[in-house]
Amino acid sequence: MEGKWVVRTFFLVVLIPLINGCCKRPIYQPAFWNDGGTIQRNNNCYNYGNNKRTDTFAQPGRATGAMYPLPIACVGVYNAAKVDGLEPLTASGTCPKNRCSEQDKVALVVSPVAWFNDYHWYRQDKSNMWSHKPGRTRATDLDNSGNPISSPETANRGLYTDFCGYMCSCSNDQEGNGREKIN
Amino acid sequence: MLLRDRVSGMAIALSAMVMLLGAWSIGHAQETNQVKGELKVTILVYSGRPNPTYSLEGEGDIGKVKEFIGKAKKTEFGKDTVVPSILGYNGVVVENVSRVSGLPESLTVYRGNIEARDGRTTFLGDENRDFERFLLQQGIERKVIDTKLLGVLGVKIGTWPTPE
Repeated sequence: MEGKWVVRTFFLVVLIPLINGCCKRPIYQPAFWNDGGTIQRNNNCYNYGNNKRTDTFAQPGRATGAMYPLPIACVGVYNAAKVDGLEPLTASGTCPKNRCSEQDKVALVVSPVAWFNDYHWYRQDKSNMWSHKPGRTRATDLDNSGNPISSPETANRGLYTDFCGYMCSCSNDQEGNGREKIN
Repeated sequence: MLLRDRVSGMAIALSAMVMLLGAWSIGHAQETNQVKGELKVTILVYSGRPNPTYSLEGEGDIGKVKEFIGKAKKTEFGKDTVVPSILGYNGVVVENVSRVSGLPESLTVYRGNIEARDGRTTFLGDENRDFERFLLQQGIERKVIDTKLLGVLGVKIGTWPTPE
């Protein structure tokens, strides 16, 4: 009985994290993304939110052939991200955490404005403050009013007025090396 | 003696012709390259979706870009990029994808300022936002953006240079 428990613990705590890697909350390090070149140009808010450099301007669901439908709406992008491996989370919820691993909270917003249909992601950094990367521009921890982002729900988000909700992402404390399989 | 002079004269004339032909072919090749050159233009509007893009090709369009840059005056910008990190319209980027001569690797224009990158960064003024307007209008003509999109983003090119 004790032997089984040891084997099970070994698998869960040592072997699986060793193969898959542990999820870690990211540290706000914008310099990695803000190179003014390849990384900044080819990685968008979804890359930054998941802390995963792909150089493909990653799209929710594309990695598994289940991209969000058009027109863009909360439910479509949220479900596409779920297919990518992100886990749904309630507003008051916290992301899974164990000895090895701690997932990171990300937030999805959408612009429902006619003629400007788009989505945007924020990520919560280890400091508990939020940061984001608007498209090709530099990663920042400020909102459209130039204020630090303590909550994406109350931040100035410009036309991205629909707040869709939170999800958990398997991020990393090494910038650009998140573990979600996005593309 | 006379024959030797004649042969020598012919040799000089032939050499000159070969040199002239060589110079012409080099010039012609450069001209052809310029006509075949391509500039990739990206309008920075989206955060998640890919941004609208189009190409500027041929002497007419590329010549116009060269004209804008040739006329633009150097400025002290005070920041290291003209592009703001905000949600919404963030300017227009021109990438010199086929290394058209006389233009830098990339040009980014936003609200009266141009950021020219070619190993190092130089800032230029975009008087009356003419260069930015030209690039946006080309995007409208090529149907990659429209006035409704610019309208919701608060980009009113018809009223420039009056601040929005």
